[in-house]
Amino acid sequence: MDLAPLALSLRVAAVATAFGIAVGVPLAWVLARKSFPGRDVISVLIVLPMVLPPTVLGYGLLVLLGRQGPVDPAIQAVFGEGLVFTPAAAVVAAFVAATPFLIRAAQGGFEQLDVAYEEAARTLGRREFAIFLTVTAPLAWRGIAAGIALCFARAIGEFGATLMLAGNIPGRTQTASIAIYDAVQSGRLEQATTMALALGIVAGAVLFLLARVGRGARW
Amino acid sequence: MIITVDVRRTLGPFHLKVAFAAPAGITALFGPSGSGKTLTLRCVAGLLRPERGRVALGQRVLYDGALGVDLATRDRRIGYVFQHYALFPHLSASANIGYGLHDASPADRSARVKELLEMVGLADFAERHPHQLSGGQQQRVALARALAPRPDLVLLDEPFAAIDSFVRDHLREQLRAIHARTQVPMILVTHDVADVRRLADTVVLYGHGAVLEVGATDDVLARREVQTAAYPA
Repeated sequence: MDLAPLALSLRVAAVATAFGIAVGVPLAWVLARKSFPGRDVISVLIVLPMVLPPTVLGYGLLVLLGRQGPVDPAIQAVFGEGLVFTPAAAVVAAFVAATPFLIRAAQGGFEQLDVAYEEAARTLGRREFAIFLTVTAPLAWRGIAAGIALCFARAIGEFGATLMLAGNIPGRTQTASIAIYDAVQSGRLEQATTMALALGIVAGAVLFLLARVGRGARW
Repeated sequence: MIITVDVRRTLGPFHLKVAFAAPAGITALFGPSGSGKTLTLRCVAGLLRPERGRVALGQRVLYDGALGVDLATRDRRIGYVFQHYALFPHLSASANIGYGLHDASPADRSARVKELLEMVGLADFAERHPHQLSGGQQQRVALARALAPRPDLVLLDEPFAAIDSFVRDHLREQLRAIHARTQVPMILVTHDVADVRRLADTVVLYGHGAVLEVGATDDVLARREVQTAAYPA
């Protein structure tokens, strides 16, 4: 069996989830704790990728980031090549599709946490970032861990947006979910079955580990 | 040191407009629930921004609406014992107490934590987590945590409300003793006249978001009792 699509899927999902954590966790905290103008607009923009069909998402990203898109010159200037049909495009697609799940779950975790803990830490002279690391994150860890698991699961299963933005180039942008589709289309059912089972086992194992880690932080 | 508090703040239909000056010692904000006592503490600690007014500890101005001074909570050097203590549930008693000693060396921190655990009579409970402590023990850990960074003032929000009545007297005595030993000024919020009698040097009488009277505890209570006798409810 060709393991390249499975390896690519894991890499893409891991990198997309890492970016998802870096962007999503602070954003979730801001949404849970602060009120500011435009907050509702941001909330809607975050939920939108969850409700839109992935093809719409992929098409939107293509218009925005593709050859004729407004962001393309900046991408060319920085990376020397366009984004579309590269492995990085698969990461972008997975990131946009999956991060909203992380934000929602983490935001719920933060909202359930009594603000008195953070206030107590402030009266004890600590800075906001230190408070986040030592009080907020450990106490909201279950919501954050659930968000990471959901984000990874959504990212590893990403299909529609990835196909539109990254294409289906074997050995370069063909992720496991696209390879399965490709195999079924061309009648290689045995290959599709093996790949589907392998993807299921790998994704299940990762989620199982994340659930263990999430529970481990229990006091 | 004189503690000056003069704050105005509107929260929905509620208007807080209070001003008082209290000498060092223990000051009680005394009045019915919903009269604005906790809001006052929050303004003093910088957890709630007044619309206008002034908060000062002696010469040190923490907030002045007219001058645009508004110190961040972390820079105010004010300890706060929250009503339900807000002990960090994932940390042991000693880690809770040491939380505000982040700038101290590990040796200094553990010495200070040990000293405080002994002061509040919990030397044997250092490694317990909050959920393994009784209400009274949690309250004492919260007090030790607030005292640890040597604040200029300690605020206590209904410190005995969640305590069984038969240990309340003992804890009041202990608080009095800790105050005598540390000499740190304290402002405590209560609706229990027994707290005022046993603890407070100065009492600030609250009603409907305003200060009705400020004075030495004995004077204020004596006057009020005469009034209550004269005008039975």
